[in-house]
Amino acid sequence: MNKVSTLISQKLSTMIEAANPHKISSRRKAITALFPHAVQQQQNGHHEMLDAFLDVARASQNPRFMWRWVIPFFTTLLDKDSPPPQKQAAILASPHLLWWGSTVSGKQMIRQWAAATSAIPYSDKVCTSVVDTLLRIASNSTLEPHIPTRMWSWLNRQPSLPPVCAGRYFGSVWGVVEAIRALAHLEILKSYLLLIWSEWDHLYHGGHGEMCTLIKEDFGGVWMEHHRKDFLKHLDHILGQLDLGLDHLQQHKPSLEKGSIKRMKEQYGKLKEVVVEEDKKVAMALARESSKLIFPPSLLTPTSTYRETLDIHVCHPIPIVAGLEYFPLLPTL
Amino acid sequence: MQFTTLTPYTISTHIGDIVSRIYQQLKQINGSPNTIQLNSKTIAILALWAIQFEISNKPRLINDQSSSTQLWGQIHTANSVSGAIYLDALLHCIKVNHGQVTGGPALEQATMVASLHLLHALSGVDPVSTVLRGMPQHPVRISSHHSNFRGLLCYHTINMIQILSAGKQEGHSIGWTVHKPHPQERTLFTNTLVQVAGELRESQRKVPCWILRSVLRSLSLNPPPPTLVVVNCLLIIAIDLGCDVSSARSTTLDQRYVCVK
Repeated sequence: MNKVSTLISQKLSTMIEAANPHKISSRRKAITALFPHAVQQQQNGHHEMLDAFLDVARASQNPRFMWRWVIPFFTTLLDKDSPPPQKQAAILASPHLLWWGSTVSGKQMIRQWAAATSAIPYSDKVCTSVVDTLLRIASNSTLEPHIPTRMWSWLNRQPSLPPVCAGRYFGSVWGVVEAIRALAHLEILKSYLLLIWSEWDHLYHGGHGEMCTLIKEDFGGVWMEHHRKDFLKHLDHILGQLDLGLDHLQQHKPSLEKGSIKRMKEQYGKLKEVVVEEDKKVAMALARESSKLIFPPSLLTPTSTYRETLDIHVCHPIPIVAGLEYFPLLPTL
Repeated sequence: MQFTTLTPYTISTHIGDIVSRIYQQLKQINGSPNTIQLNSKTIAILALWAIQFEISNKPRLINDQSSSTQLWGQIHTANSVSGAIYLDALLHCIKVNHGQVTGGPALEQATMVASLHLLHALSGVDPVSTVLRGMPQHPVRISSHHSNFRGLLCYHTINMIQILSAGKQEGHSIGWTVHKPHPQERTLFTNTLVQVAGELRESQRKVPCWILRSVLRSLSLNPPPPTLVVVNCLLIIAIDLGCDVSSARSTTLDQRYVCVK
């Protein structure tokens, strides 16, 4: 058995080195069939096969790399009674599975998956897989309602997502943006945007539009200045990377095309414009109102919903009155 | 030694007619009553005789000493057509007692080998090609039998043959969740699949999806299957990935031979 295992491991390494996603995908069924054996080996203390499996799955750049017939086995790994190494294997492999389809019992599987995430030790790899999978599941409107609310807090960890990441790509659809906005949790929303905005993927049209809106509505105002600063820094980094050109980016993501770069430049340029515009608006309003020492409530309260739900600040509609007593935290003008 | 009762009226198909004629000849020679007690070895020889008649139209008697060797040799060298005939004849012999599996170990083994051989032939055939459609009607006739082959060593393999011979593309109708063969059958079954995969690879063809599904299912079993099954499954995966498995295969084949024996 060791001889055959070694042969397979060597072959997988060769496939990863060759970096031919199409060729890897053409063998995805055979490689998926290997998954149960790799898990078994990992349980026996040999993790090389599982590592090779995960590496080759990632190298395939195929969001539906794992064959759907693996789902019954995959589900048993997530079972509450299965040992942590098995759960960990399932969590690490979960971004390579198509989570929607006729064979998936979405609600139960998502519940099991969510429970498994808290039953295994934390690591950067686990976090990346969880966030990738979370965004993929969320992009499906049928499955999204089944995501337990607590799972969204994984976004706050802001893991480093790889250049090819289906979760990030699908996670920019309008429905995901809406779902996260509906959480009324500013930190999660900010983390989400910083994760989704990347030089590796353009944004879905609907999602992009919604992001422009939420920057104005949720991150407008004086108190949001530091968030906007973070956004600007991140957007500048992305635009800087895009300026390095296609050849540079293709070293890490060969599937990138010239058209995508152009589209990304437009989209992230537009987002930057919105942030800058919001900054300007605040600066102008501050300048305009400084003489009166009055700040309109619209400058200070992006949305009352955040404040009430998250208990960051309780900020009910403020009457326009002269004087500083209502604004103890006003910045020095 | 197990015995089975052969009665002429239970045999109605083409091979059955031949066996029936042989039965009549035996009756004339022995002056037996309506039923003849036959042991499994005799039935296997009878089946072989019927098969030879079917193939060459020239039946000849086989002496007892060489019959076993000839039977196995005949089965191993059979093509898909004669493989189907073999299986049909053997099944006729094995199920003559109103569906009860009463064949002895030798007959069961012969049926198992014939089943696997036919499975091998069918697996290598493109399900949509005319080759399969042009096959004799024997596999279809197997499915039309009222006999219940449960308990037979090769029960699951016969089921597989029925599904494959029905010409389903990609074998999507194969229900692996109900495929719970005896460990020995599973080992031999996967052994056959390794051979099929190897031959397909040599002819630059992909391993069929249903074989890979079978591999996935076997490796997913809890508790895990016997080591030889795991090795066979890994060999199939390695073959599909394009590995040169000749050295690994020769080692595992030796292990398998010892185990089966």
